[in-house]
Formats: sequence, C-alpha cells, structure tokens
Amino acid sequence: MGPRPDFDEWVAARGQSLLNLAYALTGSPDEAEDIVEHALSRALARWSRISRRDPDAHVRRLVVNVHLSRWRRFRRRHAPPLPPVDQAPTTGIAIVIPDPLWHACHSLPPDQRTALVLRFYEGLRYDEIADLTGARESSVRSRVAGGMAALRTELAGP
Amino acid sequence: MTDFEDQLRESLHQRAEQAPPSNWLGARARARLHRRRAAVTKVVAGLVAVAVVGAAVPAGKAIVESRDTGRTSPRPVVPNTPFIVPDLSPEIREVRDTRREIKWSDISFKVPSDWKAGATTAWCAKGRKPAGVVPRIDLPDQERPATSCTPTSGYGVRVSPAAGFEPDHDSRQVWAYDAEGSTTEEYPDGAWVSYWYDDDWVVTTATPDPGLTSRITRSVRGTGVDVNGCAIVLDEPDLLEKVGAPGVGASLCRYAWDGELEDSQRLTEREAGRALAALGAAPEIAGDDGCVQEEGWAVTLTPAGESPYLARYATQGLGSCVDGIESTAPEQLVSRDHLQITPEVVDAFDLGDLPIE
Repeated sequence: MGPRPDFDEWVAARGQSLLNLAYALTGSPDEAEDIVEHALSRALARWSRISRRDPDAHVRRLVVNVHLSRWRRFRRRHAPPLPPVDQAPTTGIAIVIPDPLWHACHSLPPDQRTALVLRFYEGLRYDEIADLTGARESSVRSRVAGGMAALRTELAGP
Repeated sequence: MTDFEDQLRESLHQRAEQAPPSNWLGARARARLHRRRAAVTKVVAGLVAVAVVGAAVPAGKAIVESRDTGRTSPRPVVPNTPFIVPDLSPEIREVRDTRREIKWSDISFKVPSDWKAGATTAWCAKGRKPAGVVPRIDLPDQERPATSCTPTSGYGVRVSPAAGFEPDHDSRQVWAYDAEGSTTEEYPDGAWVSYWYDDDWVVTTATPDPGLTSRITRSVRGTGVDVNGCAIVLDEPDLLEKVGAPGVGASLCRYAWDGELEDSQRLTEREAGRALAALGAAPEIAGDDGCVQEEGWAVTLTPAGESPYLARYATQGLGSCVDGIESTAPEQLVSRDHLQITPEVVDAFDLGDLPIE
C-alpha cells in the first residue's frame, strides 16, 4: 500500500484554497463554508479511494458540483423573481458599490458565473470546465462569452 | 487575454482571499458525515418498523433480530411500501445451526449463532471480565457507551467506517494481540485479532481462538452491492457485472450526483413490468439542441436477468436554445437515449420526491 495523504493533513493544507474557490463561486462566506464542508464530508466517505488518485482535482470537482446542484435544486423549488422594473431614483443619494466587477459577476446566472470563475479564477481551459461541470465545451464557451458581455454591459451603465 | 479579462481575474483573486478561514474544516466535515450516516440509519429504522407492523409479509421473508430485545421479527424482503427504502439495515439470517450471516450495507460475514448484537464495550458496562461476556456484533449505528475500561473492547466483531483508518496489518491477517506492547490496551491480552477492510468499511474481529478469528475474517465479503441488488457506487462500466435483481422483479437504485447510492428498492414483478411499459411508451426527446446538460444523479432499473436501464437527471433548454445558450432551461429527466420522462415513468420509478440532501 503506497503512501496516501491523511484526510486531516490534506484538509489543513488545501482547505483554505477550497474555501477561496467556493467564496468566488458564491460570493457568500456562509454558503462557501457550507459547500466546502459538504464536499469534504462526501470526500471523506471514500477518502481511501480518492486519495489514491488526485484528491485535489476530485474535491474541487465536488465543490463545484455541490454549488451547481444546490442552485438547481433552489431553482426547482422557488419561482423566479419578477423582472426588475425601471424606476427613476427617488433620492439624489448616489450609492457607490466597492469592486463593481465582483458584484456584477455575482449578479450573473450561476451557470455563467461558475464558468467565469473556473475560467478566470481557476485558470481552466474550456474543455476542463466542460468536464468539471458536465456541460458541453460549446456551452461553456457560450456561457463565458455571454457572461463577459453581460459584465461589460452592466459596468457600462445606462 | 484582454484588459477586461485581466481586471476580472484580479478582482476574483483579490476577493477570494477574503473567504472565511478554514478553521476546523476537517473536523466539521467529519461531524457532517457522521450526522448524515446517523440520519440515514434512523430513517431506515423508522421505515422498517412501519413495514413490520403494517405491511403484509410476502413469501420468502427474512428474519431480523431486534438489537434492543434480541427477539426476532419478520421483515419483508420485497417491500410493498410506496416509498423508496434505503436498505442499509442489518440483515441477520440463519446460515447453519452454528453460524449466522450478518449483512451491513454492502458487506456480509458469519459469526457463531450465540453472539449478540451490541457494542464491543458492553463487557465493561456489565462489570465483568471480557471473557465472561458473550461476544458482540457491533454495527455502525450501535450505541457505544463511553467507557474508560481496560481493555477498550471485549470480544466480538465490529464494523466501522474506513475513513481515517491506517492499517498496521494486511486485510484478513490474524495476529495475537500483545497488551504489553501497546500504549492503550484495545483488546484483551492474548486476543486473536484480524482486520478485513476495503475503501469504505473495516471489520475488526477479536476472539480468544485463532481458528475462530480466522473463520470470521475469511467470511467477510464486500460485494459492492446492497441487499436490494444496487451497486453502492455507480460505476457505469461495472454496471452490467455488478448490479442485478435476484429472483423476479427488479432493482431500483437512485444515486447522488457523485455516484453514491442514496436509495434503493426491490420492485415486484408487476411493478417492474409497469415501469418497463412506461419506459417503452415514453417518447424520444426531439433533436439535440446542444443544450442538454447532465446534472449527474441517476436512477437505474435492472429487471431480473436483463440489462440495466440507466436514466440521468438533466436539464435541457427546450425551445430556448440559441447558439448553445440555454435561457429558461426547464428540467427534464432524460435517459441516455433521451427519452422524455412522462408522468407514468415518474410514477413507476417513484421519482415524485426528488432526493434532498
């Protein structure tokens, strides 16, 4: 039996980077913690098998899948919000949003946001993102392109 | 790479650094896994109790021993309940006069028929010596009273999760336990001990007799298939070899997106026929618009003696797919042949209640 990383040691070394990824995906510290905890508990159940191969890739895949899976379940159970209605501002107070790019990114649909995070935060190729998310490469390219276009539009303002 | 892409990358990296600290992440994951397993066990216990009280018992019943009372109660092998029963409960069956077969999840082993269910720490709670207490069959949902006795365990068999297990002996090797050479005395001095282990479970046997320890540890089988004929982990290349419904009827197995078995059920011959008829009548989903996205969790239906049918849950952009971009993406269950899952299929497969974690 070859040397395999101990679960707790591996989490101590890699846990923070998983949390960073989950936070980039969700924009919520609580949700990021919950997703990583959930993914790790899944990995722990089969750690002896996972640790023989590439635990880093496997657990990162779990994090992304938990994130996407939750969003899809949420979408199944809740009616979509009503579309926003254009309204004139009622006061003259300007609201300054720090890091508008980050906030605009998290206003994108989760599939698009996930594709952008995996592409520009994780630095993955399109085919790797397709493999990770179970989508076709053409869909991933469309999501990235659509997401970037939406961000540009959002930041350009009215 | 454009300037805008550089800005996005920089923003994501800067903000990701503000993620919460990873304190106790491993311990929290461990606790969560423990809670999940405990919850499954409790649900199963409740459902089995309902089945025992309310369901008619079909032919071919098994005998299950109550862990609390030691009495035996009939339990249907083929449940007639309208819900999917994740059958991870232990099944204790008389094999011969002197040995019983114990099944837990996807493992089985044989022990002397006079052994009792209970924690291997029970000897201590009774205030006797380990040799004065009947050996125990200690399964993962067993209550284990906190004890500070020496040795920690008496004689018996204990099944425990393999997570974190670092074996110091080969699987099925039998050795004499030497209390003097150990920092903490785990077993009675001179006990003959053996581990059997796979990726998920460890079965530890400790008896005063090397022959008995050897027979028990050699009887352990890890089948990879639960008592309803469902593979514990969905591994499609192995599906044909591993999965199967013994006898008549069919195995119905539901998997989470990571391939882990969530629920399983044995269908009667009539139920299996109804499910297959519903599948045969389901129309194909027209065309391939490039927007089908597999979500991952899956259901298999394996009629006895036939090839398994596999369906995966997926999303598909119907009528809203433009250049590969899905906009509204109504959910569909699609098979690998892209059959539309009709209400009849949903009903036959008992898919109305989607899995919730």
